[in-house]
Amino acid sequence: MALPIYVLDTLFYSSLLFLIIAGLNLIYGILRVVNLAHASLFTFGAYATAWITTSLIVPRLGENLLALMVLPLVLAVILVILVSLALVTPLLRYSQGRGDAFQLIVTFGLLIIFEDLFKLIWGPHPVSAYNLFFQMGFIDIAGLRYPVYKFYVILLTAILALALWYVTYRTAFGLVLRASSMDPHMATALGLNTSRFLVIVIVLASALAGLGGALYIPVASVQLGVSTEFLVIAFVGMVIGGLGSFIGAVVGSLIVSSLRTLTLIVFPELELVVLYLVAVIVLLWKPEGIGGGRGW
Amino acid sequence: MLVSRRDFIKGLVGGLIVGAVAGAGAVYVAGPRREEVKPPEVGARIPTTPLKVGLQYMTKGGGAAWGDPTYKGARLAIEEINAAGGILGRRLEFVERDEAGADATKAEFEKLITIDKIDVHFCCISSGNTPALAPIAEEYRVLTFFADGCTDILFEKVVPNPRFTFRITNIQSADGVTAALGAIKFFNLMEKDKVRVAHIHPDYAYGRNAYQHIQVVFEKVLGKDRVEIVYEGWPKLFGVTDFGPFITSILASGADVLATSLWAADWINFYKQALGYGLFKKVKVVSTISHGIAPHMVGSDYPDGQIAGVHANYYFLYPEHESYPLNRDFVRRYYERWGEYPTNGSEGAYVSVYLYKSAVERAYQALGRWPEPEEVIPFLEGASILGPAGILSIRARPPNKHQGYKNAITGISRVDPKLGFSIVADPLRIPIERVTVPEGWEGPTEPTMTYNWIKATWREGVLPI
Amino acid sequence: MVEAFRRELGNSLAAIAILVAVLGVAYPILRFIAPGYAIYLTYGVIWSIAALGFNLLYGYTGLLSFGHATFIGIGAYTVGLTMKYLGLRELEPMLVTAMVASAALALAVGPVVLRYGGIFFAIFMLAIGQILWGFYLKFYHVTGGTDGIKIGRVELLGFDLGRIDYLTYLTIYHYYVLAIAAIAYIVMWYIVNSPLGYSLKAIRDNEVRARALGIDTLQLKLIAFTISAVYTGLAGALLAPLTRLVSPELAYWFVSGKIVFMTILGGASYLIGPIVGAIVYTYLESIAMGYTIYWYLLLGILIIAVMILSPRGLMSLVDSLLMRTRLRWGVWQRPS
Repeated sequence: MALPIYVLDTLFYSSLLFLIIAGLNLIYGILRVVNLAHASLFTFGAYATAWITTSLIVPRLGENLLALMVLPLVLAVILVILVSLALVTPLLRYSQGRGDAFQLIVTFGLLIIFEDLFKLIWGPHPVSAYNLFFQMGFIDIAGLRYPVYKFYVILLTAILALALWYVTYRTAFGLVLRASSMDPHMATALGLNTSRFLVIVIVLASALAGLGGALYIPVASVQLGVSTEFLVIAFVGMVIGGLGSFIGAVVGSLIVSSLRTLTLIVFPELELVVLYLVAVIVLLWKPEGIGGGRGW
Repeated sequence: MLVSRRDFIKGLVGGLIVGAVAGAGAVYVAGPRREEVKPPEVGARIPTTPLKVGLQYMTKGGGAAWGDPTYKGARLAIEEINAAGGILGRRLEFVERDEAGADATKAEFEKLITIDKIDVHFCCISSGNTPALAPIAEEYRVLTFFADGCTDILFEKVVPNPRFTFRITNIQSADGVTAALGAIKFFNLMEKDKVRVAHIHPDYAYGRNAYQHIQVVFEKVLGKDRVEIVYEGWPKLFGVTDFGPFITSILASGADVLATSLWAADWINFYKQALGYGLFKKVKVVSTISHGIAPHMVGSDYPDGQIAGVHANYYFLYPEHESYPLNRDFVRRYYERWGEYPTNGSEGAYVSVYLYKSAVERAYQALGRWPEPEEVIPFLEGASILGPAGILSIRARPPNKHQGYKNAITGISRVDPKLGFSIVADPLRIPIERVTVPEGWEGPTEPTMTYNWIKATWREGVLPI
Repeated sequence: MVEAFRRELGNSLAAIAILVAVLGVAYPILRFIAPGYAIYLTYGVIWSIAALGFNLLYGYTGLLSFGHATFIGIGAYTVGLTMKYLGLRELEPMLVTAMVASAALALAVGPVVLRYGGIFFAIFMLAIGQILWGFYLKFYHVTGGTDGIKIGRVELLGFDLGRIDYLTYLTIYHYYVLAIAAIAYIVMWYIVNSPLGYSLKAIRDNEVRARALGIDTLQLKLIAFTISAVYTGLAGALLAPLTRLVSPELAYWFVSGKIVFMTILGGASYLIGPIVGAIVYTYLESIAMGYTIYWYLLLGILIIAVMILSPRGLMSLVDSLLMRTRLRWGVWQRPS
């Protein structure tokens, strides 16, 4: 009876996950760096969007639908890109080639720095901006109300995924992406893995994560701890889908989201456990992931 | 690369000798001390040094919506007392720390005792923390007043014979019982053939307690065959920001009534998101605690007609200001100081400080000098104090020795046009004896004594109010 | 004494002996001058056992586990559950059980998990840790969920310490822990200086070559993994009577990150590096926590600073400091 709702919720959640995992895979695939602080950019995007919406947009433009849809998103993503360039990019570039332990520890440090930065800037209370959520209204599906906003997110992310697919498989830039992730040394030898290219990759990944946060905030609130909540699930998705792979991001996000919905319905107590168990199983059975192969 | 035996033995023996000397010295320095009550010294009856007061409430994180007003209540009391000359002339100096997860809260508490050397501690709103801190307070013999963290297990299981720990706000079981009684009365549940109940509670002591007591009251008063649980959700406390899946499941379950003990940030998130799904049009909500945060934070978008719980303790409008100046003045002073209205946490913390003051003063009158912590205890047990909420009394005998009791209250949510936010209207005041296990009663403690007392003594099908 | 200094700094038994002596003497001194901070010495010693175990796997075998909190959790919950359900008060059987349980888990997952190296192994361990964390969290009726299990006073070596005052109890516990730690340190010294230790280092340096030399890498890795688990499980069990509370937070992956950092802070290529790192970190954390609510910020900056400026840890700084004076003391060997 509520099946369509569950399906939609799954798609919604997997959209958010996809945006995070795609970025994670870009960074891992091309720079071979594991970035524990990636979800922090998601959270930053959420905080920024909430703040922009409530402090800048609503006081000036009221509850104008178009303004609410476009402006906070764009501005927040720009902010996320700036923050990424300032804090994240240098660290990730420095971590390249320095070994897994180095990367894990350094990005772990970055993760906890971000947590406190959020506390510093936005305070310890949860922050929200439900305006767009309410503005878009809801429709009736199978006798239950469903927010139009979630449709919007699913649609938008699908378009984005298609765009990303197009870029990856139909453009020169995408060719470089794939080549670099399959064989970084060769790519460097061919003069492809330039500094500028790598920075663009990191910025792209960060923008995707920030966008995810911006899309998340209207339906929920953001508070300290959201980063780790999404990070660990994103990691599981990354592993299940395939490290460093675009298809892996799609597959991983869908699988993880479906699993999560299933366990929430059937056995909510074990929601957390099931995800990790599946990750372990996938790592054992097919370490390169269900969707992935070699690189992006 | 082999170590020569000689060097190894040299090193080992050296280490052992040094260690033994150090150990002996340590035991000498920190050795067992006999309990000594110092005889009164002439001319030094009251210390002139300030009294160091520990304050530890959730002022950050998801619980801040609750902890912050509680903290402000304690601060107001401290400031008023200092302005009036302190306790027996001693100024109160507070040291504040954050309250968070049990681990961290305990660690900070221990630091307050051992490093900051507090004389008395006022803390805690989370039921996860009071059972963790109480044993520490007892070990270090520091008088500790819990404003909240009202879980029954504290004095029923963890510290059944407390000496230094006290708790002010109503015991947790009263919360669930009051909410359930309110729901039965206001929603006319006794007239219905069947009541389908959905539950959503945070996954920790408080949530489980609420669930158990709401259920036992429903089943007792309505009859077990009339009550059906159609859904249970247990989100991690302050761990879920998107309640969509839960809301959808609740709607899909066909519930008539949603019982919940989600509080602070969790509840604000939930109700706002639930509005979007139209939950309140289909389901009647019974909350133990929805209106327990700073009153203005329950916005004008909050739906009318839901059970508006205040942790069974206090809502700033009652006792009515016209008839009860103590409450009127407290609310006024609190508002002037902090720019917002007090919560039940504010009142509880406020009264806890005054309770301590009153006990110390009475101990002084009896002893002729400043009392040691253990000497204050007899003046707290069985004591009563008049507060903004009414009379609070501290139980002297088990079960729940050292628990504070006052009459319970709940009501219906209604947006007040003048105040601009949702208030608790149509207050239902219940004498506390009706909803909690009495002094001297004996019975099993699993899950709580109140639960078993209700099961054993309440009459089936009768609404006891 | 001079001879001792001539050996590898930080890897010798003499260094261990000095360290243990310092930890023994420092306690009463701290009680005198800054009593509130004495308890952190005990915590530091306990974490040093965990870090030492972790480093056997990381520094000596080259395997980074981002999930060692798993064993801390096993150790702590062993104590909690046996106290709660069996009513046991003596600590020794609980310690043994904790070590056996940790070894059991290691032997169960090891053969599978150790086939993978690098990032896979790290994430594997994280996932396993989180699975257990999820169990501790959700099986409320058994584990108490987020409320945890309260730990009363334990009996040490058969003595019932219920009557003495709290500070004395803590003091006795410190020396108890220190004695166990001393044994643990010495055993670790033997391990890394034994043929097993050399084989592990060979695997760390070049696994393919090690295998070519006839070393059964999987079996040795399994042994190292199990020993590592046992040490960390022991530490987890020793933590419980001190924190007085066993909660899922102890098994959360953050703790794994802290163990990794402690080790690196001290210096993963020195035997006593993790010990030094654990103690220094414990103090840093407690001071930072009391100093500011933004202590995550400080810690994060510290982590990054250490990794960039001194990735070989504090011991390497000590080493280079002393290297400058080595002419006075004779020839030294550099650490491995």
